[in-house]
Amino acid sequence: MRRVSLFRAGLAVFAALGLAACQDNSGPSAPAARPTASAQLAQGAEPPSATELDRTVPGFGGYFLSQDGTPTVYLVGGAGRAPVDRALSAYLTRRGLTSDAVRVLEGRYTWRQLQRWQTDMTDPALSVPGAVFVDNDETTNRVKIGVTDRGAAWWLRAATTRLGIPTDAVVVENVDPIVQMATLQNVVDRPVRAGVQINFPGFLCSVGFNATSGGQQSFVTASHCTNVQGGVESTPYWQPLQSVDPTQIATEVADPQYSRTLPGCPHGNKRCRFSDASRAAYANGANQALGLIAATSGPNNGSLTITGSFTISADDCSTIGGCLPVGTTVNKVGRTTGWTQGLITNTCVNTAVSGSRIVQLCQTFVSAGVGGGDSGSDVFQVTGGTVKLAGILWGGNGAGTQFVFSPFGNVTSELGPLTTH
Amino acid sequence: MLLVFTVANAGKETVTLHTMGRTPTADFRIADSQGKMVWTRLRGQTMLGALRLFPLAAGKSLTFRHSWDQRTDSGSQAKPGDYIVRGVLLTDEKDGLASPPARLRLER
Repeated sequence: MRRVSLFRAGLAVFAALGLAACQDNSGPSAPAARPTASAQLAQGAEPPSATELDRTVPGFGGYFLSQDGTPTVYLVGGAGRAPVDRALSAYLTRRGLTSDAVRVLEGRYTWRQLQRWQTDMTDPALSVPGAVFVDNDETTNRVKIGVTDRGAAWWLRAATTRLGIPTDAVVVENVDPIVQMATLQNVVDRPVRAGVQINFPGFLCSVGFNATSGGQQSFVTASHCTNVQGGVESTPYWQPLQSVDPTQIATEVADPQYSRTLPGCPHGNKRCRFSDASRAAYANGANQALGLIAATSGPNNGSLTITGSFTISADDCSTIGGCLPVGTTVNKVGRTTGWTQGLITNTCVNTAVSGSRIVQLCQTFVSAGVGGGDSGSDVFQVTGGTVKLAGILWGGNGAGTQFVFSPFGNVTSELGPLTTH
Repeated sequence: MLLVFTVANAGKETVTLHTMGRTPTADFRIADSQGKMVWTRLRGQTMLGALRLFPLAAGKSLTFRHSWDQRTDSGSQAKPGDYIVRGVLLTDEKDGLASPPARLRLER
């Protein structure tokens, strides 16, 4: 028996593969290992940090690569460049350069002074309407403050003087506002639409669809997107993350147990249901965006940026297995792969869940993109102006090219009647 | 033939992996020397699509093992020749967290 291992360096996590095989002429064998580049990549691959340069280079005023890629350093008047050459030597060597390649510019302020003034100015500057950012700008050897409104400049000048910062150390520049793009993963969506990320202890999933049951404003997601798949444990939900918004939005209230005795359930130790679906009741009913599904810019384009909403106007039939035939185009919106679209390839498939004793009865397969975290996503059909809810996505293949969903009829057969729009 | 795939945290701080399913799952994929896939451990299987936030402490690792019977996805005996093997941890990234390729040779 011999063993080979190959390694790859990562930022912090690396993956390695080993093979072990009987070594005889009639059987398989493994060739010698061919180690690849690994941890030594880290040393000298990047220039020293500004903090490190400040510590080792007297008079250091900033470091950057100019537009033509030239390493450039600011030194305040009188400081020698020898410490710069020493500090950058490993990095330059790695890039096939010598210290001649470094351009030294005369700076007026040290990087440390600018850092302190950036810190001092941040609070007063960002309290001024129209201020966008405060930067220790290494390309100009100044503190740069971006504003959308030139009128803010007067207030900023006054703050600079009050703090004893030299007037010419601060540059005020007109810039565009910085807008955070709301995505399916980061949006704090209130009211909550289908398709956006939800968090329960230790996991991420997607909101399936909003539904009202017995007057209780709720959303439906996958059964395995609860603390325990099958059975109610009052799983708490946050959106998008507990760390982003610690106010719990909902609590699991319905999740039937898996059963060995359902018609069609294989004998032995298998446990079955017709849907991988559960229901969670909103803590605040006003957070329910009934009938709305978050939309991105288009199907199968990889975008997670929310650009609008679909409005559900119909549900698929209440029959087990659903009423959408093979060849029907359906869609899903989920937090990992966004809006994907493809054809139904199989209907009413009894589906074993990999690595478990669970069998989901009479499920639908779709040839479309899926990824971990998409579980619970809404599946829907768009025809003309009609958006018809088709079911709840709960799984897929390892290649991420096929997803599986529980048809709407399967969901209501287990969770009871649901008002979805 | 035993395949062993290890994901290790070589850093100094805990890293949270985003792994597909309720428990971390790895695929093993074997291609011929032309890059054509001949065997995939998870072929035809359906995985749960939740995303687990799996903390991997500094210095800790996850190890996956699988024994390959040297048969292709179609069930036939793999032909003698060179093959490329990868382990892939299923994550929320399209290509997962993959090992570098390992080469193996099947001989008569």
